[in-house]
Amino acid sequence: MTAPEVWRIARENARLVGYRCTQCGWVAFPERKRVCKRCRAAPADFEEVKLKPYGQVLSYVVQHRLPAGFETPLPLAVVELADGPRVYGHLVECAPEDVEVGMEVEADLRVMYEENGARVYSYKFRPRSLEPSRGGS
Amino acid sequence: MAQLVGYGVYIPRLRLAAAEIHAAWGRAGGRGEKAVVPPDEDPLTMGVKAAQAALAQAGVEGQQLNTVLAASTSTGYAEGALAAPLAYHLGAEGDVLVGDFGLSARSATAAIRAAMNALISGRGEYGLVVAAEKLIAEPGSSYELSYAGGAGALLFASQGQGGFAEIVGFAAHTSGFVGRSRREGRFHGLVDERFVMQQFLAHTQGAVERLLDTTGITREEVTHIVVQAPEGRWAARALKKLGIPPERLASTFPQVGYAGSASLLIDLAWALERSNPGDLIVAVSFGPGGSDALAVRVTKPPPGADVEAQLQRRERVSYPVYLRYLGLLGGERR
Amino acid sequence: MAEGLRGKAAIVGAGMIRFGELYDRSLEDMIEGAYLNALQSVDKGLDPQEIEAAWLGTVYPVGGNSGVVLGHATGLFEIPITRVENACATGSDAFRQACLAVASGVYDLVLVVGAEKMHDEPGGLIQRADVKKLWMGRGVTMPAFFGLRATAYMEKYGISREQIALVSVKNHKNGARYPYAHLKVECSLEDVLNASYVSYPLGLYDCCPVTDGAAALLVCSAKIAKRYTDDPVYVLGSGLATESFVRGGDLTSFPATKRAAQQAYEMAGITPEDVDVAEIHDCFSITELISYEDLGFAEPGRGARLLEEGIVELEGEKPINPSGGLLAKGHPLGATGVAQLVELYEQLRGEAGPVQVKDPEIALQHNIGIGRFATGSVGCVHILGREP
Repeated sequence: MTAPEVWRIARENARLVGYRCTQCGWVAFPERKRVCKRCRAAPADFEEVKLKPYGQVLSYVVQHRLPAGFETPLPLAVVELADGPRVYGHLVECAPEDVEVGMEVEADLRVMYEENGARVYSYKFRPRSLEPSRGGS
Repeated sequence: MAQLVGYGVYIPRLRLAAAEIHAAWGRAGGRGEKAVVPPDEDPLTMGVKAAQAALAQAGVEGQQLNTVLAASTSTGYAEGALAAPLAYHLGAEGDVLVGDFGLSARSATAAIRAAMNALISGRGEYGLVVAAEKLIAEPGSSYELSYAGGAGALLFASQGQGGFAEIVGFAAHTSGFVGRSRREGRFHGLVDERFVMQQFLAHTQGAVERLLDTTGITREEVTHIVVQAPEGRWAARALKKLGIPPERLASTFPQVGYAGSASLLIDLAWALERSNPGDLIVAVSFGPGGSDALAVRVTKPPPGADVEAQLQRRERVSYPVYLRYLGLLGGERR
Repeated sequence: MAEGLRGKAAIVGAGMIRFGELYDRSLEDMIEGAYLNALQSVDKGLDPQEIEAAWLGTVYPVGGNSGVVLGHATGLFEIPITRVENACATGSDAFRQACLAVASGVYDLVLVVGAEKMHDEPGGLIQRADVKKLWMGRGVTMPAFFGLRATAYMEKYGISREQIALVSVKNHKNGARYPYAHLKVECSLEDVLNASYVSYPLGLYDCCPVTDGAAALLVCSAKIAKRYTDDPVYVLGSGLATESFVRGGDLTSFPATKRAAQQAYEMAGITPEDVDVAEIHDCFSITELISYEDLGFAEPGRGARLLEEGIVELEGEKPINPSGGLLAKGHPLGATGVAQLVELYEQLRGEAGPVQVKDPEIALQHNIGIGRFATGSVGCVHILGREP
């Protein structure tokens, strides 16, 4: 994504902010919407939600073939955040053989890629720890 | 003076054993290990995590921050702010004073002093100081045994906000000495380490003695001392020179290695985690330009943290993987 | 109530080239080949001058971002040519547009070509995984997108890797006999299970190859079909839908397929039981299994039974993918949907040679596309019959 593309979702991406449709409860993330993708309300009323930085693995794969820039084997999951949004998540600090459907994971800020020499940040996911005072809580 | 209301660290879980480095270069022996920063972490990601831990500990929200100061010598950018994006990730924006401190491993203490000044001068209620580093040493060089990464954060509040500790003294010892330095995009140049150690001892001693003189604190009152030392044995030498017993040293060097400006905050957090009301912690930095020393008086039981837990949470990496992770093995694939 | 398509459009000519790694043929060479084969397949002959409009389905920008490349390949310059792109369902959608055009009465005879020159794009599909994307499918290869379904499907229904692998065994067996297939190698269950992982739980034989290819169809108004052949194939129904997993639902089905199938069945006035033969989207083994259920051929979680009981084998009650499917025939993105239709045209006319199934009357074609950086999908379904 180019710098303007990243800037357009900077707040949502950096702080995990979503928008909940007051009609059906669906949460838009990381995009700010005026129509609801689920119930088709147009225009819909959205309320801002500070997303809890954790969720559950809905499904996963372990990728063995990837373009340069990714470490393999790479566990990749569809994560459903506790507040509802579904996102793709690369799993870190987790051995591929330990990933399970239903596993609890938490968001972990990482460098995703570089664009024109500037690092672009977003979240990967790691197995959720219940230790106190770790980041992101 | 300013109150300390929170502290936090982020220590990467990957560790490389010194013996593994020695073995790779055909040398025997080696004690301890160092923290290895994974390829998708940098001073910003680590700094944010350390800061979030400090905020969570204090129950303060990111948007309550009025001042965010960051120290690092290893962001990799000649231009490219650290403090502002860090503040933004935490939830702070708008009328937030941000400042980047760098170009010397000493700069964490300068950031602490500047944050205190901001609070004292009435700039809001909360000031955050973060130091984060990802040091990369030339493979095969002696610096490779210690250069590591990590982050630490201190959250200060203005007088009247409560807190479990306060800064009760600050002293600088500045000279024209440079010592270790690094040009953009290069590794640190190797210098005469006997000479650097001599200057390290002189500057740390100068700063601590000035601190004791100006505050009236005696050596006996110092329950923990943090010495930011780029080499494992140097801190003990500094204590000997200062006349402070070696068991008072609070150092994560054997587990973490040397994380530049972040080492000072990580070790300070480790000391805080183990301190009790009435304890007095002295911390002294060192880098190009000299040293600063500060005294922290613990007034209430410090809230729990996970410094020790992070020290224990470790996963060994091999030397080739370490080289690959730091981009020293060539190629694009991590 | 809208009238729908049934009995309004017919296929009177179909041709394709053998799929494969066609390093010696350009995109235009391939289109030219498919076009000539389609022209020559018309029983009573057809003058290119009669073609009034054309649609080209292609995804990669190898031929430039317009339909003009089709003019260059065929010489059909003076007529409208429109390029269609809708992810891996591109070819099917091109055909759909052509059907709508003749059904509307605007044109009598049109050309549809689907083509993809995948080997002129460096890196192949794996390299096309987005590296510089946030949240939307960063590093999500197609084997990962479908592998995520496989994991969810296995977890929900207690289905084994072996059961999924039966799809690969069947399709490679069919492909080995199909004249136009890219891969003509049979594989055993052990081969599938022992192959290296591409994206766990999917291994090499669970994935379609990277293939070049082109296919073409001549579509006309049903009213004039007999002018070209005594055995036209009629379009009975057409459906297309889009969906995204971010809206909800579990990951064990493709709602876009369900909706598209529902539209097509209703338009055709048939039920899944009426389908005699089908070409369905098996970019990965799991996709075929899930699609059995989405298309109504099996209850949810019961798709593997069709394989275990031989129902979907070439000689079974409901043969599926006699061509070897995408797994064996190959999956040149834009060409795929059109090639599926070419195959079914031959099946319904009894011309499918070594893979001919027994006396089919009604055929179903199904194509899936993944779009918007692996967060959305397209499903397209067509139903063809020997009678209008």
